[in-house]
Amino acid sequence: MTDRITTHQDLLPKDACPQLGMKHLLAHAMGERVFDQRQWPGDGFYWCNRTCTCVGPDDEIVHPRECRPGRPCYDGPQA
Amino acid sequence: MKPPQDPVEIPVGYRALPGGSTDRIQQRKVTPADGDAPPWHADTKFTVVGTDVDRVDGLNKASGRAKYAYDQNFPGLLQGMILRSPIPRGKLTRLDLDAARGLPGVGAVIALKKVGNKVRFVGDAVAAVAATTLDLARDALAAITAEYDREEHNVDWSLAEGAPQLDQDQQIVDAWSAHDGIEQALAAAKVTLDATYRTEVQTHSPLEPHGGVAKWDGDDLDVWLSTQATFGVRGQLASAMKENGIPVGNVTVHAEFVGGGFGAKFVAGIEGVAVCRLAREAKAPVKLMLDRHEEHTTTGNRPGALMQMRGGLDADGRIVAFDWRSFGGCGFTGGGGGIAYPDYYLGKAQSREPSHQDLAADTDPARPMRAPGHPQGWFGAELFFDELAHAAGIDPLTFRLDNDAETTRQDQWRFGADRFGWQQLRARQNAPGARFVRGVGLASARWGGMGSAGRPAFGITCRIHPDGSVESRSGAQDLGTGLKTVMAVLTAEELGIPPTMVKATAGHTSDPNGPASGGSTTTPSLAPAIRHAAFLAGQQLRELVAQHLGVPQQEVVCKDGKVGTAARSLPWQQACKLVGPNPIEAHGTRFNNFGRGFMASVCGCQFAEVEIDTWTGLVAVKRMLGVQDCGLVIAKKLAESQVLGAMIQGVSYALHEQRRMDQRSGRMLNGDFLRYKIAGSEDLPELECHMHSIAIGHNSVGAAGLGEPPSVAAAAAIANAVFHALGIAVRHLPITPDKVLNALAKKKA
Repeated sequence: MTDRITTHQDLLPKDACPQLGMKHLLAHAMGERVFDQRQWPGDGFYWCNRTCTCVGPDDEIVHPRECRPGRPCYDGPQA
Repeated sequence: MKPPQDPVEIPVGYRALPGGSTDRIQQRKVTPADGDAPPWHADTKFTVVGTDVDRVDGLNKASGRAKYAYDQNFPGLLQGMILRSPIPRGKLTRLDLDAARGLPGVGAVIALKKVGNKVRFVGDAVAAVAATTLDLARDALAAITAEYDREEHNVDWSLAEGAPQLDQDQQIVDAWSAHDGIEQALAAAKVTLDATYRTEVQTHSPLEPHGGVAKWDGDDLDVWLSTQATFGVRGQLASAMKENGIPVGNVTVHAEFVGGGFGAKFVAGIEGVAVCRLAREAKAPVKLMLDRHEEHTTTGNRPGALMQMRGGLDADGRIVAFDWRSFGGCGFTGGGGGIAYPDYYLGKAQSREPSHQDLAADTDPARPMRAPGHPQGWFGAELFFDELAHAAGIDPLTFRLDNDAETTRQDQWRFGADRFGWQQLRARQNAPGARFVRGVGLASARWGGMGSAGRPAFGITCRIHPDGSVESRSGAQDLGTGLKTVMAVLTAEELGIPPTMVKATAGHTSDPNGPASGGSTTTPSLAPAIRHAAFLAGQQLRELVAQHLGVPQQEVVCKDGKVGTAARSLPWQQACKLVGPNPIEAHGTRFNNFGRGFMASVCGCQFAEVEIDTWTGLVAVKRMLGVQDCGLVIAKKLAESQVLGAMIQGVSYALHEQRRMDQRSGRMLNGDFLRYKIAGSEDLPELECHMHSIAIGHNSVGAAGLGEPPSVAAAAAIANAVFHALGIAVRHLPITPDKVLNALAKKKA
């Protein structure tokens, strides 16, 4: 076991689209410890606030890896 | 920002459990925020907290007076329904809504997909209608023309690209990648095991399905939703209505009563968007609630899992090597199948970063479900460890006591084993050739759920009225776990009155900001704000009483239904007459935690006894005991209800629940409660739980999460009991009669 604690916030890309939704954001639990070795924050269930589904306005799957600047529907401050 | 108060030293921890070794009390220095209530601690004497208070809304729920989203009705209300894809994978090539729009009684017809959009599973939403009756809405759905280009599909995640090869016993046959440390430790181990464990997809089955009622007044929208996140879905719906220029402030979400939510109700969903759009187009209120088949097929699930482990024990029963790789059986997003396991047993064992891969299939995506990734991982790992211990001739309890790094759980193991009668039951022998055999098993649990302050900080409004009644209000939802009761108990404790004098209201976004109910954080996040609001309101009342009685304000307390000093006081009702025509109103704030408290993880363990009919393969769980901590136990009956409910859900997961897909059509074959079996009253064992209250000292209250932790251990404990009864492990959930009979045949062979 390791003493280093990884939180969900650590796993969220800083430039992720603000429309990206996940349970841990809503529960204000991004500071909770990640117990396993997942690469991405939360439970792996992501949605777009604009569609309220796992598929974005561009008909592609929502994921913190993908919902970044450059995606046509990106709605962040750099858009 | 005002400076914090001076640091104070408080005792934290817990007194020895019967059978536990000793008191676990530490002194801890904490620094409360300015204006916050003094922190409760291990020596605090409570009047209401921790007692058997009844659920404040229990009578309303039991009598049908509680109004859920489903129960909202308005004049001119239309009924909404969704047209869903009949194919599992392809593209929408044509969508004609005109015929449906022309039908009598139809108020609105909207597209939810555009021509050219992908269709990703059977049940994917394509269009929606609202009509005066459900029958007319069905007619309207039938009048819609939707055509598709069908593509090759796969709805069996274990056949997905990247899935491991399995043998006839469902064991992974692909070789492990080499790891020197693990190989050497395995070579030197006294006993070793390499085994694969599997779980199936479990669908969400809350009593109240997803959906809601939407009602527009100009550009103002009121929505009654079955949701776990009032403030979250409010923002989502505003985003989804962005093209209509609807600001978030125009949207009010109501969820005063929610008929269950286990992780699938964080997002408004296509049904939430559809009901708002339909109501806007129809210029009439619309109700759109999913039916049970839609609930099974479109609202997410606990994904399946394949988990392979190899490991070894030394001569002292310590784990010296452990290796893990797993696969999550997911839907079309190919995500959400992550699995956790109890790493607190591993000590100094040779191990490495666990390997995990999610597998995609053309089905409804995974969603969080009560302790995501945990019941499946604990089932696999706890059964693996029991098999290892058995091979070494070690009792499962001894194995846990020798390997579990958590001191708190060590005490819980001893206490629970004594209460359950572990030694006697474990030593009991089944008669040779007996038709019915019994066995006992145990398993551990862990969770986080320490709560947070929120951003902006969560709040609570507390009002003391001149008639003596008290209000506590939160905009967060009570999804059935009992937030309103927690509000009443904490407010009553702070003000020295019975909880029946507190009217607790939750679930309207017009009230103060609160969290979504996820990760077992609602109570730990809101409890300090509830208490702070009551503390501030009480402070105002104490000032009035001090002036009235002419006594020093700092000596005035609210206690035992009185307000005053030891020498002079007023009964609560009399004191409240000093309030004047308008109530005292205070806004409590959720301050940041002091830092890490007595513990960072919630602990628990469960014990199960099963009886198996070796002729039919039927498993009956006869008895279960749960020992569970959650920081401060605020309302004992409510807390026990969480643990008992989790054990019931564990019985269902261990023995019954399994989504069955038809590979040819891509459809779910058992999308109803007739064929998708969940545990009923006749399946339930004698259930007992012991709440282990711990003063964490991480904020003014010290509550931790409870919704999810007790659901981690249940299926694992049952599977271990089945292993004990049969003498051979059933490594695949649910443990249905066919698997039991196969295991017995294998043992005999």
